[in-house]
Amino acid sequence: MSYDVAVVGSGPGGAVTARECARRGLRVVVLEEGAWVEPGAAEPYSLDQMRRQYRNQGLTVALGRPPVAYTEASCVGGGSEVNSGLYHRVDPEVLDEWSAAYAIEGLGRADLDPWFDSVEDRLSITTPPPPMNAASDVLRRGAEALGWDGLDVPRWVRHGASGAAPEKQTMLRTYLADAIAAGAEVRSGVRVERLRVEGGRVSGVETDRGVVRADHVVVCGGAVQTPALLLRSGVRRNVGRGLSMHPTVKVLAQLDEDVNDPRDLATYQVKEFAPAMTMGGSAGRPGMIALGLSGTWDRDRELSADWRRQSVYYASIRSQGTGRVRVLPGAADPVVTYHLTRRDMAALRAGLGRLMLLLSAAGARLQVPSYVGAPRVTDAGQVGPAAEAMSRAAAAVMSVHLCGTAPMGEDVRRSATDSFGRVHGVANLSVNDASLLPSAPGVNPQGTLMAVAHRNVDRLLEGSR
Amino acid sequence: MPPASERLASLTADLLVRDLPEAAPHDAAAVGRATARHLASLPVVTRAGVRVAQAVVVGSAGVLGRRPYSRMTPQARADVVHRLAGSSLPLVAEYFRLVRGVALMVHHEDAR
Ligand SMILES: Cc1cc2nc3c(=O)[nH]c(=O)nc-3n(C[C@H](O)[C@H](O)[C@H](O)COP(=O)(O)OP(=O)(O)OC[C@H]3O[C@@H](n4cnc5c(N)ncnc54)[C@H](O)[C@@H]3O)c2cc1C
Repeated sequence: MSYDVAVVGSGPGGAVTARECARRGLRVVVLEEGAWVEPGAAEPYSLDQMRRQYRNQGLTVALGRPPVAYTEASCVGGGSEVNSGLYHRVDPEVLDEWSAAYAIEGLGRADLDPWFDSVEDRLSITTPPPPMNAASDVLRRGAEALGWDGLDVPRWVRHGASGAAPEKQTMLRTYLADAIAAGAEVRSGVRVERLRVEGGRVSGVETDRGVVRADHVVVCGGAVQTPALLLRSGVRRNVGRGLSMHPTVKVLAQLDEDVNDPRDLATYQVKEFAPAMTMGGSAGRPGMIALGLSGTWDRDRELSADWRRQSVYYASIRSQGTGRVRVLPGAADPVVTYHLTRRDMAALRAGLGRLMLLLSAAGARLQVPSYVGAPRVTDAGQVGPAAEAMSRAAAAVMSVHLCGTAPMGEDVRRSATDSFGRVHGVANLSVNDASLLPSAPGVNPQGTLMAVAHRNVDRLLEGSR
Repeated sequence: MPPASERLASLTADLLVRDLPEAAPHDAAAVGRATARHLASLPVVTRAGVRVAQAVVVGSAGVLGRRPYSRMTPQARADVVHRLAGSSLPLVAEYFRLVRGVALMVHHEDAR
């Protein structure tokens, strides 16, 4: 079967690409390795969801000292189906920084704003109506007590009748639904093994179900799988090197009142130190609480019974370090490494300290930072030593925001694609996902990568008119 | 279940004797098996690393318990595993960190 466009991966980048191409009347196929899971069919943040909608059931790790646990979705809709739905527009200074470092054309805020508008409209971006949930209110109280800046972050949710759970506007409910309505074919459970590249052109893709031919291939597998597929296919220039993420450390806080709603998390973020550092709330199902205490389980096991009064909070940083995605011959999974610099470790300790101060100010009487052998913190005076004691060997660092492995730009010494995602040296091959963003942007990235994906596909379609 | 996974399930169940003293032995064994199944999804290279770490764990258990792990009494296995899990030996500490994290998640989630 032959198509005008084959899109590899159905996450936010792939869904935007498929919708726009299908709406222009092109024959589009979306090839997605993961399963089709209806939104809401797996409980959010649950182990069941990890088993059904995450790659390697959520057990992926970037090797290093410390290692960084990261997660990627693998299902129709990609990360949008499992994530928290927190939406931001990227800071204009970050766009300027990227544009200067990689010689990217047309990436100012004024260039992107119409695309942000379009994304916001389709995803029904809204700030939840008051009252704030209890876990969020802890962050707000702490920030107000310290005079720190923060906000209840807008989300891609639709609020139904009062009492009904808000409906997350995932790709399956929005962009992929539109793409299908416009004639795109979405095939789940199909893994693209390799691109067929010859003489500077791609003729199609080899999947575990056979060959799919297409005039143009757009790779949207996410920041780890996109470079892995390109590398497996012999496309190597500046691919897989600049992995960038928001390394994150966590603290479990116990309050006097119930704060834990296992189905949701805090949507408030503290932005006093942004974009260098952000504080917010994590999922807090009882299993996550136990996981948070696992580094001090011998001492703290009894605490987990009190999970309704506990919540997990995080501090995440813009990292100076970078990582790499490599492929091994014959191995299905890429090898991912990440190096946190000294400055990153210092920033993570500072983040942990500030987060604990904030939670103390919000009334947390007991805190346990999530690292092996961490002390209990029961007053603000203990915060400094507890943060400083987080060594590389003990640290438990994680990240869910990955970027930078196929950066865009006109500087061919540094970038893998041109300013609009067209892969250098392969005429009809593009990338259109988080891999293009040269570094983790200091805010939750999905809104930014979708605006960039819109801009790129618009340019691609202009060229094909 | 392949032998390496069976061993992982058994080590997990031994760890839970102290980690979750309220869990009945058959529950601990069930969590052990579910943990082993979950960890079978690890990416190839990490899975190979875990196998190596497990070999070191089993070897260290034999040294501490003065007989092969498979020939120890359940009580002796639990004691030895508890000591190893609390140690800071490279590989061994990381192995139990991973296993404990997943086992606690499995216990709290699958029991519900
Ligand atoms: C738990 C979690 C919470 C998050 N919270 C937020 C948040 O609140 N706000 C925010 O802005 N961002 C959040 N993110 C990040 C956000 O989800 C990602 O940045 C975004 O999904 C990346 O989109 P993408 O299109 O680049 O790739 P992905 O969403 O990763 O989609 C890629 C898809 O491609 C498929 N694929 C990969 N390789 C192949 C192949 N070879 N063949 C076929 N299919 C393939 C994958 O299975 C996957 O479904 C979160 C992420 C996670 C995991």
